[in-house]
This record gives sequence, C-alpha cells and structure tokens, in this order.
Amino acid sequence: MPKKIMFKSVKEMPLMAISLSSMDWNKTGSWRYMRPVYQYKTAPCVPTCPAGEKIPRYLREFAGGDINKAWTTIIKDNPFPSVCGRVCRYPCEVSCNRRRFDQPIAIRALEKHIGDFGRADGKFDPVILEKDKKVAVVGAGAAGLTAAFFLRLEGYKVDVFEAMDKPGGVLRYRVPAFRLPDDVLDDEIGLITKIGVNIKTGVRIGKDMDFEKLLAYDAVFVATGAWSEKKAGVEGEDLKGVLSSDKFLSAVKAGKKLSLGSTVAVIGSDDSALDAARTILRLGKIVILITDKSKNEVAVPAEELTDAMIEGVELKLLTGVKRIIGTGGKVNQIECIEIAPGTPDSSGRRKAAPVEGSESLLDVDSVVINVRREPGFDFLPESLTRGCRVPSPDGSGRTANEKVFVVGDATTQDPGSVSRAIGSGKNIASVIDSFLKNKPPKEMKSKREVVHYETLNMMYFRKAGRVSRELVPVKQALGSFDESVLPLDDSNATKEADRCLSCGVCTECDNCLIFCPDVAISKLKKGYKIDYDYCKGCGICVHECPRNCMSLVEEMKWKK
Amino acid sequence: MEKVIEGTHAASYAAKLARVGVIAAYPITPSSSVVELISEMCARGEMDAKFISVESEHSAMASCVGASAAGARAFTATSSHGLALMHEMLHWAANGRLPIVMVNVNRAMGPPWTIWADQTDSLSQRDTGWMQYYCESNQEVLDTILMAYKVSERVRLPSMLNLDAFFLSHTSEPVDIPEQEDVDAFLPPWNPDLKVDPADPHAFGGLANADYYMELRYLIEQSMDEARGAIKEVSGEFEAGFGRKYDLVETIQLDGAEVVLVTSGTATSTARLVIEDMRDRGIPVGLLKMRVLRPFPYDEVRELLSSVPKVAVIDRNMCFGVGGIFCQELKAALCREEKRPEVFGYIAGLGGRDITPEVIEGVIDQTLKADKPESDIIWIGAKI
Repeated sequence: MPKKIMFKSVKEMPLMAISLSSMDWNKTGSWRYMRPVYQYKTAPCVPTCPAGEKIPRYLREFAGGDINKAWTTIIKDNPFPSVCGRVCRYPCEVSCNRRRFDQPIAIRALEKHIGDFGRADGKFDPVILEKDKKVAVVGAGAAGLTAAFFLRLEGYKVDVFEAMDKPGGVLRYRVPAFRLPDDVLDDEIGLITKIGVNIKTGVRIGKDMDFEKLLAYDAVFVATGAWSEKKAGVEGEDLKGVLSSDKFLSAVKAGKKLSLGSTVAVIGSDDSALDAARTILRLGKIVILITDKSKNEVAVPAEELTDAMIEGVELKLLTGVKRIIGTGGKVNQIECIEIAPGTPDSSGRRKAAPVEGSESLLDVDSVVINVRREPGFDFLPESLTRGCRVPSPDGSGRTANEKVFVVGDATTQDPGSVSRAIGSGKNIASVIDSFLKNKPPKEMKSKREVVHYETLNMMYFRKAGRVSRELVPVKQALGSFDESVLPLDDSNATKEADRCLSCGVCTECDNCLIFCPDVAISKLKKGYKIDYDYCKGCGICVHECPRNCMSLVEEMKWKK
Repeated sequence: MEKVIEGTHAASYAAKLARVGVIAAYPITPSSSVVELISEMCARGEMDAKFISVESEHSAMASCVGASAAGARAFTATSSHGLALMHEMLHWAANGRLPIVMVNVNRAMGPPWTIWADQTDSLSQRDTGWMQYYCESNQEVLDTILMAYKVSERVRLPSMLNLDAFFLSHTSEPVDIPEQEDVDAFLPPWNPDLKVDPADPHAFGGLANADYYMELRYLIEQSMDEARGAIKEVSGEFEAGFGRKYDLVETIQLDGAEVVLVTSGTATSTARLVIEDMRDRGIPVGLLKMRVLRPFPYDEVRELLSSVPKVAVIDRNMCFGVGGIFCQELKAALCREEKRPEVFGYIAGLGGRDITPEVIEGVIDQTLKADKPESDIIWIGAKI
C-alpha cells in the first residue's frame, strides 16, 4: 500500500487535480449501495426447450467457427439434433427475444444444419466410466432412446427392448419421410448404439418376454408411448374407407397399397392430420383438410402449416363434421356444419358453436381422421398399475416399484411432441441415475433468471433479416417422399447464428470493462471480475452490457 | 493569402492552421458553419484530425475535455443554448487545466426563440474559469484563435472566443490567411507533461478534500493573473510574425476626451466611425474597446479611465437586477481609484437589434449633456 503524499504548500502541488501515487488506499467501493453482479442468466429459448438445449451457447460456438463443438453442446442435452431440426415444434423461436426486434433466430434450421454436420462428420468420444449396474428400457422411441443415451453416458449398461423391427417409435413409423428421412433417424440412433447402448428389436414385452424378467435389472424405464387408439366419436367412423391418421401414416410408411379413390378428406388439425394431408397429395389425390378450428388455433407450427398450404392442402377451417355417410358400408360423403368463431372463455378456449342450418354435404372417396391415442399397460403386472390408468399418476416417473420408472407419451393423456419426449427421457435418466447412486434427485430446472427483451441494450444490435427458408419446388416435392425443406448453406447458416443476441450469456464483448469509470472490472480467462474494493456501484456496466449479464443488486439485500 | 470569408469560416481556417487534433461539436445556428467547414476539411484529408459528431453540446465539451486531457489540441464551436448546455463541462475544462479553445457565436438566449446577436450567453459563463475574448472582425477571429492556443497552452486554461451572431459570423470580409509554415513557427505542437497516458497512469480530477481544494483554486487564479502578461507577450510574438497588433484593450482618440465610450464586439466598428466623425466636428470623445474580459484588464482600465470625466458603456447583454455586465465590471475595477469617472451604463442591441451610428451618437450626446446618469441602467432604443 503506497503512502499518502502530503503537500505543505502550493509550491509542492501539481497544477491540476492529479494523483501522483497510487490511489489504492482510497477504497471507493465503501461508498457503494448498489452492487453490480456479473452473472450468466438464461435466454428465454432455453427454458422453453423441453430438452433444455443451451441454444445461445451452441449458436455462438457455431458462429465462431467451431461446428463440432456446437454439435457436442447440443447432444449433451439432446442426442437427436438432426431429428429435432426437422420435426420439433420450435417453441424456442416463439420465445426468442429477437422477435421483438426484427425476426426470431431460425433456431430449428440451425439445429438441423449443425445436426447434419454431426451425422456426417461429428466427433464425439465421451469418456464413459463403466458402472456395474444395468438399466432396461422398454420402448425405443424418442424418450426411451434419449434416456438410454444419457444413462449410458453415466456408465450404466443399457438394454433397450423394442417391439417393432426397428427402433425409432413414432419417428420411424408415423412421421413421413418428406419431413424426416429414415437415414437421419438411423444416423442419430447410430450415435446412441455407438456409445454402447444395446437395442433389442422385435421383442414385445408381455408377449416375447415377461416384464418380471426385466426386474433383474437395477432399474427399468418404461417408455412405450401411446399407441392405443380411441374412437373419434363421429357417426360413421367405422365405415370402410375411414382410417385413423396414425394408421394411415404407418401404412404408407410401411409401403402398403391403399385404395383411397381420388378425393380424401382429412379431419383434424394437428401434426398427424397435416402429415396425412401432405402424404395424400404425394399419392396424387385431392385432399381437403377439415377442422373446427380457425387458422390461428390450428395446433401445428406456422412453418408446417405454410408448407402444407404451399403444397396445395385445401383447408376447410371452422368446419365441424356432423357425421360420415356411406353407402353399402363404404364412405362417400361427409356432412359438415359451419362453426361460429365464439368468444374465448377465461381459459382462452373458444366454445365451438355449430351454426344451425349451415349443414352441407361433401363428396369424398375416403376419410383420414385424427383420433386420440392412449398408452396401454397390459404388459405390466397388476402390482405396478394398481388399477390406475397410468403407473405413475403423479407424473414424477416413479411407480409402486421403486426401480420401475415411466414417462414420455406413456404417461400423458395428450401425446406430447418429440422434443417433450426427449426432455422427459433426459430428465428420467437423471432421476434413475440418482436412484442408482442412492442420492436425492437433482433439480433439473435451471434457477437462472430469464432475460427479457426489455433488459437488453438494443443499441448494440443492428437489424438483420432472418435467413429465408428454401423449399423444394412444389411440383418436384409432390413427386416423391424426399425431404421438402432444403438445407441452409454454410455462410447463410453462420450469418443466421450470428444474429443470436445471446441473451444473458456473456460473449466477452468487454463493454463492462471499457465503460467502467473506476477501472474496477478486469478480464479473467473466462468472464470478468469486479473489484468491489473500488466499484462505486454506478451501474454503467449494467447499462452498457448488451445482453443483461450484469445485474444491479441493492447492497443490503445482496446474498451470494 | 487574402480571402473573402465569413466570420465562422475564419474560425474554421484558424482551427486548421492551429493543427487541432480533435474537434467535437454539435451544430447550432449561427455557429454551425464553423464546424461544417472543418468537417469538410477533415473529410477531404486536409486536416489530420479526429472529428467527433456528438449528440449534445455537453458531450462536445466532454469529448474536448477527454481529448485535451490526453494531450490533443481540442477545438469546438457553439452558441447560445449550446453553450449553456456545456456549462458543467466548462468548469471541468478550466478546473482540469485543459487548454481547449472554443468559438462561441454570441446569440441571445430564449425564450422568446431567437437566433440573433447578444452577449448574454458567453457572459453567463464568465465565472467558469475560461479566458474570454470579444472579436470585432473576421481577421481578429482568425488571429485570436491562433494566439489563444498559445496563451492557453502556456497558462493551462481554456479560451472562449466570441463573435457577434450574423453581424460577424455571417458577414464576409477580406481575411489574410497566414501560411501554414508561419503558423507552425508561431504555434509549435503542444506536448504537455501532465496528460492521460496509459504508460504513466494517474487519476485525473479525483477527490480533493478541503485540505487542497483551495490551493488548487489559488493556482488557477495565479495562472489567470499570469495570462495577462502572456496575452501581451504572445500578441507581441504574433505582431512580429504577422504584423497585426492586438492587446487586452484597444484605445481610439483618448487624448483629452470628455467622454470615453466603452464597447466590445462589432459595435466597436460602428463606434470607430462615429468617434472619428465627432472628433472631426470638434467633440472630445474617445473609444475603449474591451477585447479581453477574462482575465479582466484591471491595469489598463484603471490607467486609461480613472482620470476621464465620463465613461459611457454600451452593453449588448443584460444581467437582470444589476445591468450591463461590462459596465458592472468596469465600475468594480474603478471603485478603488481616488479619482474616478462618472460611469453611464447603456443597454443596447439586445436580441440582434442594430446598434447604428445614430444609436451610438445618441449615447454620447446623452452622456455629454448629463452630469450624472439618470439611472443605473439606461435602455437605448427600447419602446418603453
């Protein structure tokens, strides 16, 4: 600590107010009543991603030129980036802060871009410390495979039992190839088997093998999905020529010949209905999609709806189906009725109100109808289900047997999305890991504060349009089941990733350091350090941080 | 090289000749063309300087403060409300001992909104520690900027150079623009020993407790005092190099004058003609031009005016509750003298109203006729 210099008269003094030795002795930080705190927060896209992908981080890694790092960052949360880059409902983009500035980041397209790199050239060589405990997974769908992947990374031996010939579940047997080509799924499942997950296909538990046998494993995860179809409750749904959308899609994927006639009606408005409608177009038929919802209520992402309309799916919105009419047991007409767009109730739901006297008849040759699917647990012993419809009614994944877990579509009445299945698989893997280690389950939900648009300093960002989405020309697209969305080129992808505001995730732009009037901020190997001996708490660093990685906290209320 | 240029451009050429390193400015009528021409000269590469466009006059002066603290020759130009907005930074520049030179085009303060000449803007800033010059011609504007840098850098205090809105700022006159090499010889580069330098870090303008604050202020006053001599010395050097003579004040026909008229700015040029004409008619009148207000030319004022019977001060400015500011300062300077004149304080030409030969002759006549001023403040030409 330098000594204070004392002047006896003006003759000894400098002309101006200037320090002649270090001012370290003057700990100006003691004046502070507000404390800037340097902390990573979270962008809104991250908590909305069911798989919890660290989106700003991998976009930055990719934009910075390290695509392999970006890819490994994704697969540490989600082993299916190429799949999700194609079929996810991208809630991340809906929540993207950039939406308020110009347009949201094309996160899904970028995930596909990075995932496709990973499939071809990705290097992922995790160090797996083998444990002697074993886990069985029933069902090789998205949830089961994801759980298997993360449990394997923890060192468990994992056997996955799949009833079908191939793994993939809904992704393989229902999602059409023009949205998700088989080789994409094969490649990403290949990553899971590559790290040592053992998938046994063609084994239906309860038929080819008793469930009790699985209890020899240290833990069992039931991820059988929801395959049991309920009735739609429409008069005439049992007529010949009426198919459920799932059965229809599975049949087309399996290469079965269907006699559909020339005009096909699709009833419903979720992913399956839209997939069915677009499949029908590719089979060379005229398709009419009938839904009682308005355009804004249709439960598919905007891009999918746009694609369907570009391809020529005719939408009959706000139209109810009174009954399906047939002659000689075979469908030939649908009786429709107009639905009035009623006012939404307090929950935001609109009560469908059919308009009396607006009935009309529609000539059709066949009908594809959306039906509810439910999980089926016939193969489970009574001791597990105990009369409940699902074995884990509280949604925790735990069941009456402490070593048996069940999540994914197998627990939800309303089948979720692919990313939700992946997220639930990832979460249950953590729960099972804690169980096997005899530890309390880890908190999966991040406690990090979500960064809102208002807290960003947008002065530091320039407007830049979102990368445009290129489609295969319609004529060509409808001539095959090839993928209909074209890949991004590298430079457009990099530019797009560079648009990411990196909300709450420090990019080390040095603004805090540059603007600090007290030189109280210094750079560390990673991030910054604030010297609270001298920081006066002026808050300039907080204001000048473009991405809200600095917060101002009242000194008296500050707790580490 | 002689050129016919307006007053604002005389300032621009001076900034170029002074080789200023940083110009930070925000436009305001009627000073805008000072920095417009400079920005063009920077853009054309004729000036090796950094032109900083800022979002306010406060930031303009703050930028000049930063540049000057780092050892750059800094320049700006403003007017009226722009100058008022700089107020905080004016103290900072002077108390920080930064030899910034600023051109202020004297424009009246609103409301009512106005853009015309009046000195109340700069005179409102007279206590900020800046030296203040009041110029009469475009040549004087150019010459004074060159001299002001030299004086400022010697005594380490900033200089504010004032010229009347439109009467000078937008009036074209022939101006002799000196050669760059002659200016370089007169005004060498500024290399301060105390400056912001990463290689030799110091804290600038930090906290000084009551133990030292007064001493630092004493040092400023010492420098202001020193500036009186420095202005004379530098004027001498300038005269040697360029043949034009300047001083703290200028006297015209003081010998035997019954009344001495005191003016500043462009009113002086008109007064010169009136005085000449009246002298031709045998009327004993003289003229004192106040060229420098800070530091105040005590010695000159006392020596030249204490034995004159009457003094008439024309103020194109107003300090409400007191009167004209030059008059007030003049009275203060003279009050210590045993023999002192009767001082008449006239307010004229506010907000750009013309101070015509008739106005000036009227002022002199009134002063000649009266034994004492009718009041402390005499309004000339006001419809009252």
